[in-house]
Amino acid sequence: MSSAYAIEVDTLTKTFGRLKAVDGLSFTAEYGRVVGFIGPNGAGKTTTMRALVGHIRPDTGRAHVAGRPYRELTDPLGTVGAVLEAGAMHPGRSGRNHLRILARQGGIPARRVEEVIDGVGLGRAADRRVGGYSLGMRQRLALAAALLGDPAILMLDEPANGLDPEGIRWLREFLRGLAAEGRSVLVSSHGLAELALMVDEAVVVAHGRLVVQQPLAELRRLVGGRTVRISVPEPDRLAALLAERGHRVLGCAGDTVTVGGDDARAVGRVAFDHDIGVDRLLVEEPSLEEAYFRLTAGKESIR
Amino acid sequence: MSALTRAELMKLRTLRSTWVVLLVLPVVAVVTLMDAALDPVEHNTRIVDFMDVSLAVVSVVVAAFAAALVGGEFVRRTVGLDYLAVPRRVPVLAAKVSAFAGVGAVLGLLSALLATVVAAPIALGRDVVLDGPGDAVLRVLAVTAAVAALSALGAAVGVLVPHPAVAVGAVIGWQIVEMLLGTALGIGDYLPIRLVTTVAHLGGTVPLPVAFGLLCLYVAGAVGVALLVGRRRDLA
Repeated sequence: MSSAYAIEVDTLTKTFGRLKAVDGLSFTAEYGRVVGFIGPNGAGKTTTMRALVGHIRPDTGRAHVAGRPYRELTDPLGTVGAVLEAGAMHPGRSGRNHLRILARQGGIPARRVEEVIDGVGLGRAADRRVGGYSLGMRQRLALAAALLGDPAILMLDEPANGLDPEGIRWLREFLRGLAAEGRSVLVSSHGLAELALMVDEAVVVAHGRLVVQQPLAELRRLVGGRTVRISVPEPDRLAALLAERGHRVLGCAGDTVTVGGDDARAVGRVAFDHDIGVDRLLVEEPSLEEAYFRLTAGKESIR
Repeated sequence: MSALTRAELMKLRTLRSTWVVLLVLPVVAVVTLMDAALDPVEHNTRIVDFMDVSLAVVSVVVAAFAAALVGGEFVRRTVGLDYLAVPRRVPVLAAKVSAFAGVGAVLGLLSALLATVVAAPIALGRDVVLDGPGDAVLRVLAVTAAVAALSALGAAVGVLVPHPAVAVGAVIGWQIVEMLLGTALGIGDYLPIRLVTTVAHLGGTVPLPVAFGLLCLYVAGAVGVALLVGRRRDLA
């Protein structure tokens, strides 16, 4: 590992015609962490990942992996594994041959092909033509290709696409395992709920710019922290009583009152003291999805 | 042979379409040759005259095949995987051209050998000049080299026109352009596809070394431009 950071993006800008896909984006990713790369369609995630592996040339700024531009790496597949497009495979070729070709190009021993096939659970399907694969199987094959060189850095663009719930769970545990081995994983996804269970840190982008880069817990705190939700038969009355006693009532919808903070005992006590029956009482963390929407709504950059 | 060229050959080996072309094209070459050879209206005086049409078919199909497969790599974005394995693009693209030159050579050799074997007995029964053994060998080698050159040219077109259908259209369209240029400017003998025929004839209006040199120059020029363009193109 020639750099403290696995991934360094510094004031990266890329324009396609009149469209500024990435606009002065900067962030880093450390080894041993899973970093979620989050943003809506057209936010510049894929363009950034492509710049990191040298598929596109930035107009300005730099995109380094392991401390240098991708094209200067002496062992690219052994340094970075990337899944930028799960469909990038010839439908007429078997999965095993797809991997064998990549191994040959990268100077990787053929036995490693068998290891990664087993590792991603492709098994006997490896000898079938890729054209007959489901999207989930293609994702697994693409992941196998990324792991071929046993890289310390992984970049995965929407790796959960097409995976069934079992596959998503497998992916989550797989990526966590890779990070536990000291690898850096940069993963973009639209499935924010899934990412929340997968990542240590989030890089939120919108309109090609950085919105925020924070550890997940810090991100949740940043967007408002925990809330207490209490479901009762008389929500309006309870909301008024809570407000009288200085609680920050955030909303009242249906039979549920939402209160800022995490003092569920105090909220429950107010209901009990006024003989209001409690159907449900729980403390909630803001979801990554909520955090994302709160951060990106009307605030293009808070960097 | 470099690891990259071996990988490119492996790509071709692991596709059914390659084997279909390898098996079918020599047969097509023989059928078109027999069609010309058995035509009572034709008054060919040399055995190589029989081969003209089949050689043209083989050359164009081989170039179109190369253009389609290389152009397809850009549409399917599999070329992105090549660039992940080897970020320096020029060796990657050069390996593709070399691999297709190799496939072209095999197809050229098979077609030329089959054509010679089939044409000889037909020619024996007619008033046709047979090649001496030296000329026959030289002709087979010349056709092999010329088809290899056209295949490399097709691969270069595939890099320049990164879409299989458009790349094939460009190869076929070039034939028409060549005919028009040949007619309008009288330079047909100096253009690539006609040069293949000239090489197969071991010379004509243009002497063999000049024809072969020109063909190499066309290939080098097209490959050079393809490498320059491919090296800088964004895979967005």
